[in-house]
Formats: sequence, C-alpha cells, structure tokens
Amino acid sequence: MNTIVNKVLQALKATYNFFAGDVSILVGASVAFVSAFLLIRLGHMPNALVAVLFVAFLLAGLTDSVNREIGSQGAS
Amino acid sequence: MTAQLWAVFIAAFLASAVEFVEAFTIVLVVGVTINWRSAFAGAAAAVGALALIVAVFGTALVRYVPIDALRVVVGFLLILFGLKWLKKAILRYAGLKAMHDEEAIYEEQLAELRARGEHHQTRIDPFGVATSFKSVLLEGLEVAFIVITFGLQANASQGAAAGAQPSGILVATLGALAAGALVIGAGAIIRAPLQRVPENALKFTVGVMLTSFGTFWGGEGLGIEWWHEDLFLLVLVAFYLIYTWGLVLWLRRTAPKPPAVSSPEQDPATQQEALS
Repeated sequence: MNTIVNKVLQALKATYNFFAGDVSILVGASVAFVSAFLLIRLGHMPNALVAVLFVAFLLAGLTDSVNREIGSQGAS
Repeated sequence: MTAQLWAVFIAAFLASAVEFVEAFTIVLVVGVTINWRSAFAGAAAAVGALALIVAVFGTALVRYVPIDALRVVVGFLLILFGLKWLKKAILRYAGLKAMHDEEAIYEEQLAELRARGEHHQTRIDPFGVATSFKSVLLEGLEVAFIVITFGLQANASQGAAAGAQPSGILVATLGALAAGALVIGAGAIIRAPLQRVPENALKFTVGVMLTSFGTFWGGEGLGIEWWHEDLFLLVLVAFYLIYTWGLVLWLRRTAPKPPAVSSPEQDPATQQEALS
C-alpha cells in the first residue's frame, strides 16, 4: 500500500516539477488568472485595469521566485 | 505564412534548439562510449514517442476542449514554462547560478558510463539505447508541450479567420524539426559537445516569447480585450524584456555573489548547478 502511495506522490511531484517547479511562479500565475476572471465577470472593472493587474501578478510571482532563490543561496 | 505563424515557428525552433543541445550531449556520450547505432536507435525511438504525444494530445485537445477554455489553459501553461525559463536565465545572467556547461555534463556522463564498465562494441546495446532514449524523451517533453500549446493557439486564431486551413501544430512541429536537424547536423560534423551555442540567451529569448504569448492568449481567454489586438503582443514582449533585464541589472549590483571557484571540476556544488 505504502509503495502505491509513494508512487502516486512521486508522480504528482514529477508533474508539479515539470509544469511549474516553483511555488511562487505557480501562485503568481494562479492569482493572476483567478483575479482577472473575477474582476471581469463579477467586478466589471475597466479592461485596462484588469490587464495591468494581470501582468503585475505574473511579474510579482517571478520577482518573488528570484528573491526566494537569492534568500536560499544566502542562507546556505 | 502569417506573422503569427512565423512567431510560432521561431518560438518552437528556439525552444527546441536549447533542449536538443542538452539531449545531444548525452547521445554523443553513448555514441562515443558504446556505439552510434545504439545512440541513434534510442534517439529515434524517443522522437517517435514525442511525435505520438503531440499527435494524440493535439488532436484530443482540438476536438474536445472549447476554444476559450483552451486559450486559458494554453496561456497558463505557456506562462508557467516561460517564467520558469526566464527565472533560470535571469539568475545565470546575474551570476547567481552557474552557466549550463555542456563540456562538464559530457565529461561527467562519460565517466559514469565508463565506471559502469560500458565499452565500445558493434552490436546494439540495450543500456545505450535506453540512455539515449531517456535523455531525448525527457528534454523533448517540454518541447512537445510547447509545440502543442503554440500550435493549438495558432490553429484557434486561424480558425477564427474565414476559410483558413489551421496549420499551427504543423508549423510548430516544423520549427522543432528544423532545430533538431540543425543541432544533429552541427553535432555530427564537430563530434563534440555544442558548447558555443548561446544557451542562456536562447533561454532568455524563449522565456520572454512564451510569457508574452501566454499573457496575450490567457488574457484573451479570460475576456481581456488587448489594445490594438495582435499588435499588443509586441508591447508585451518589449515590456517583459525591459522588466526582466532590469531585474538582471539590479541583481548584478545588489545580490550577494556565491563564493568564486576556479573551475567546475574543483567544486562539486557548482558542477551540480551547471547540470540543472
């Protein structure tokens, strides 16, 4: 049973590493997509503002990811 | 061919070139240590498997996923791939991560195979085939997804134009094949790791392209109407280039540098970094 669970976890980890591999980038992209969807469909926000926020969340994810990498290098 | 199809071709070509250079190093090690028949058999089998993945996933997604959902999924995946590539390229340009060193990888893999007792032989060797197959498949998987996502989106855009015959996946596949032919051709001539390919510049360029296209298509799928439509892609490319290059310059000035070592052979940690 443990072997099956381990294999499933390994497969999930491999899938995560293949597609994202970085929690900040994944969270930044997810927040960008969800917030843009909500702001357009429910908030009826101006198009330009949604576009700016969409790009800003993506870049925030990238910048945080780079910062975390530097932090981990400094700590080691 | 439209401007968008050219962009798809170029993005697929550049992304594939980076991955093929990395895969070629392992194929070369197998060819030199065991024999070229095993190396090419493994590589050819992997290319076949990748073509099958593109055909199956590409067809299934086109048939069963609605266009707006497809745009969102494709955009999301392209952004994840693009930002991941950009992050690595930024850290390497800023001097915080060792440059990808094909020579170091070549030497390490060569030593590994020799330590296993592998030697030159004339018959097809299953281990050599498997090693070559694995390296090409693993490096090519990301390219396969890029080809599928770019191709599908180009298909969708073409489908919107009246009377157009969608050929996005074909164009993206041709871009990947052209890169493969170029890398294998160059490798066959020089019979050495392709060290002089500017891998980081390619990675940076592809990262910007994937992120820009992902932002554009993902945003479109969500309902964002981009100013001046397709032309806004150029604005996104310029913006991401400026932002990420600004990040590189800022990191070069402010980030603490890792301790310097004279060569990768002397420092296992640096050697490991170069391999990833």
